Amino acid sequence: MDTGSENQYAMMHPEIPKFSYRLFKWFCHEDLFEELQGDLEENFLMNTAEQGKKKARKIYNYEVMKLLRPSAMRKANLFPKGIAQLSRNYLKTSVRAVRHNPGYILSNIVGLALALSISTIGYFYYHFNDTFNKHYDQAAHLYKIHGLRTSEATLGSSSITLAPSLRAAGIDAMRYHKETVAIRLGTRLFQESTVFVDPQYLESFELRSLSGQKLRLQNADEIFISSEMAEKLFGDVYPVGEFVEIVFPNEEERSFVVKDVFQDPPQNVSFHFPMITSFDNYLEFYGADENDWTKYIDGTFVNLENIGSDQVEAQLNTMIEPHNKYNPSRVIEKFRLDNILEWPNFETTLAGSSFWNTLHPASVWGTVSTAFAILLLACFNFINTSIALSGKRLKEIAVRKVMGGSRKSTIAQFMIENTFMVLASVLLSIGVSYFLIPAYNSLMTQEIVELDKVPLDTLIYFGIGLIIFVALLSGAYPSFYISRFSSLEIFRDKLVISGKNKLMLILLTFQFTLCFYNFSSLFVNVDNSLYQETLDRGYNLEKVINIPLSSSEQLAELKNRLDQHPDVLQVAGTTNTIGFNFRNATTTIDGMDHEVADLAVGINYPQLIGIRLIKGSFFSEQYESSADHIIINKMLEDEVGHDLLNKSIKLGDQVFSVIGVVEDFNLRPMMFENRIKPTVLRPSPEKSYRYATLESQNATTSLNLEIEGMWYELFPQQLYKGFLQEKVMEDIRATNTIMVNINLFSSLITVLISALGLYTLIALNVQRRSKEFGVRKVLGASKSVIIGLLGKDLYWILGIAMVIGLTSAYFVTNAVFDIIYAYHVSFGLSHLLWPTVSLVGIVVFTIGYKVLQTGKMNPVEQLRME
Amino acid sequence: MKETGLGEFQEIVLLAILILDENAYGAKIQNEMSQRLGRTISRGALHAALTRLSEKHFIESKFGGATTERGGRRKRFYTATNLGKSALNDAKTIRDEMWTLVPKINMQ
Repeated sequence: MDTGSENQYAMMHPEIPKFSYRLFKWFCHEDLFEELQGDLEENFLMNTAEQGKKKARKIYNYEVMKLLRPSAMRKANLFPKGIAQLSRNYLKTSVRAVRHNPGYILSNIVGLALALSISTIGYFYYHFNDTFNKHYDQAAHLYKIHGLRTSEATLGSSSITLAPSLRAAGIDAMRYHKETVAIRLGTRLFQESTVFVDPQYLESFELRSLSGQKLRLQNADEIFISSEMAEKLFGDVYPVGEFVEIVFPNEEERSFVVKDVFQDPPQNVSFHFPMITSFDNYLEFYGADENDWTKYIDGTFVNLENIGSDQVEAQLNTMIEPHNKYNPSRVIEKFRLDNILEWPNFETTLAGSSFWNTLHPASVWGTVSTAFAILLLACFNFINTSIALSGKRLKEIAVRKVMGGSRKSTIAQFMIENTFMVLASVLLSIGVSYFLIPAYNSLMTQEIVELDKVPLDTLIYFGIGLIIFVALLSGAYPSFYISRFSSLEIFRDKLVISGKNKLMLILLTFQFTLCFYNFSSLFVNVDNSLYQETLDRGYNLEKVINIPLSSSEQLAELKNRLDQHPDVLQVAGTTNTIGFNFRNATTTIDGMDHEVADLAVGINYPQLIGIRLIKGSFFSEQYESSADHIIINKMLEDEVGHDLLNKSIKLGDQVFSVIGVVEDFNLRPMMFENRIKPTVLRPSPEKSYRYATLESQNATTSLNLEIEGMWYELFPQQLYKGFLQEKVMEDIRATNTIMVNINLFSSLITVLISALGLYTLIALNVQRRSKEFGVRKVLGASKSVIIGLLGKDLYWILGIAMVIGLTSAYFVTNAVFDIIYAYHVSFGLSHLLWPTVSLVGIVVFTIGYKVLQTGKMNPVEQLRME
Repeated sequence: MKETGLGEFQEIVLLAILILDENAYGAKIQNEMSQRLGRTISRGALHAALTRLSEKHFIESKFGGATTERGGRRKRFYTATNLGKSALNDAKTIRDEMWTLVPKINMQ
């Protein structure tokens, strides 16, 4: 038989059920896959034509199932060999044990299943960073060129001439640049980004079509688009041969022919784009000169497969000199090559770079440790219930021993039972994950868990590893502990497993510590996100729209039209907009230098945006009469230390006189280090206006759409890029949502599992001690005494858990908030009180009825039991 | 009389291969059989039969050229070997002989 190994890039029909296909590929013998999959696919096409897509998919799934037979399966070890030989009797006993306590065992299984699903999510987080950019087969040879500088951040972007110069020296170099362009759809234009690349990029980064073919750009008027764009532009999954109309900034409109639709890469790569076309188009439509050292593009990459890095570095060294000559403001020390597997980790620290980067390590380890904590919690819960349940099976153990069973066989019995329960929860967790993962993804801003992009065998090995870990952790201790009991003691009724087992108490305390921790951080996070919403920015955040202008002449025309709109209150032009851009500058006051943020604004802009004046005045109506005036914020005045009104300050070479002092306001989205800074506002001449800013009366989203229509009547060839001032909040809102959701998620799950566990323990405790309570009652114990007895340990558990949980929540959330937010709520009494109240409430609710019932029970009932 | 080692299902597979002649590959055989028998045959069942048949050297197979309609995957074409054909013949002979011994079929 010749070996018909599957052609690596053979096409998979896009309609074929992905999961079945991958499952089939995984288990099928390599020599048979090509033939069998080919046949299935041929039938699939035939069935689609004859019976419709849905039926065909069903048949395909069925056929794959039917191929699960030894002769078609891979011979490698799919499953570890030597799984212990299971005796039938062990199984029988296990089934009986389950049948006697279905409720408790079910709760155990459900808890563990939830935790396993969460662990899967945690694993995906780890996997996301671990395999970042590994999607590219040649990743190990691909490097990005960075410009190392002495005191400033490393340059991520590079000069447009770098790649051609390297290529002239025989080095495989390529450029990648992303630009926002306008796409025409009817009379409207809309904003999309397009990537311009050298042909070498497609070669090295292997862009592939839906059918797995390597894509190549042959002519400049060709474009490749993503399937999402295909759907959006043409409402068709495969619009090959259709035309995309692109309007470039020089108002030139061009048609590009859709050459093919490319496969979406997984989320964890640096390169994401809806459209990709030849770099020649960038040169043509953006007036870029290939010999211009000052023209910067997003990135230059080199492929070092056939060349040593020292050779490339030597070549790069010869380019430092011309680079520095033409870029005095971006002087570099040397060029550095960074592998694309490494670079995403520090992408955020680079200047002028805008590629996708790896998740923040804190976010990965945060998720992984939360997942691990929940998994531990579920395991502990499992251990506790197993031990508690075994109290009912003491006689069974004793009989086994008396009949000559060894301790080994008892251990084996319990291990097997526990392993089966773990297996059951694994099966259940597959179902849970199926619903949980989409739900989880929808909570996040980015889809981190991509089930259909992860290699199946990785997932399966992870699953097997997890099962072994959980089975050992949860199964081993109870088995050893229980099997130790002496049969004599059991028969004499001397042995009592009460809830007094120290380990059980410790484990339960751990569970509740985690609950307190999660609850508390949930409350703080919710509080903080409310705080971020209502925090005073020092200016008017709502009802303001900014419209970027491509030339300052547009303002007059636009203002004319906008002034007629009933909802528009006022319109002003400006160069910088608060929240989005400013310049760092140095000002000299009384001979002392101060670092300030320098905002060049329109004459009426400060009033419009709602900056609050403390003293002095705003700019006068005419630029000419205000040209040497400047407004400063309170913080700058405080820093100088005395009244600056009407004083002169020097900014650069120009002298300004301070005509007003305003309250502090925020310059950026208030995240990370973006605190309020000493700021100056100076008037900018009309010809340098880059935005039209307007204040409106009503909700602004619909108004923005209306203005968009207005804009295209005025400037049909110009892209409308208007955005709400509220955009400042975008990042912070996304972060808040994620923080709150993650906390909500883990709080709910920890509480659910712990409550299940607690209920089980109490219920078993009540059962076991029913005689004791009966006797106590007969001897005169009141209801409250009984309740007190049942709850005695619980007070301690909750107390200790509360102290540890709340303290750690305090330290951890404070540390996290300090990193993420410029300003945040401080941890207060209410963040301690509310979690405690609600958690105690939940505990009371869970066990209250059971305890009350026991307290009320007629002692006769309790004593008559046997 | 001798043992042919040919099960009924395998016999039908072998016949289908002979009917399809040059064009006998998995999907075709499967469809041919489904049509003749008037019931769905799973590719898995067919695979098992084909494996048995090749183990007994009743059929041979080789890959055809690359195709476009099945995602570029090649077809594996099956042909009956002389051994297979004679086994089929033997099976038929046995049956025919037995049929001659059956006096009359009464359908009730």
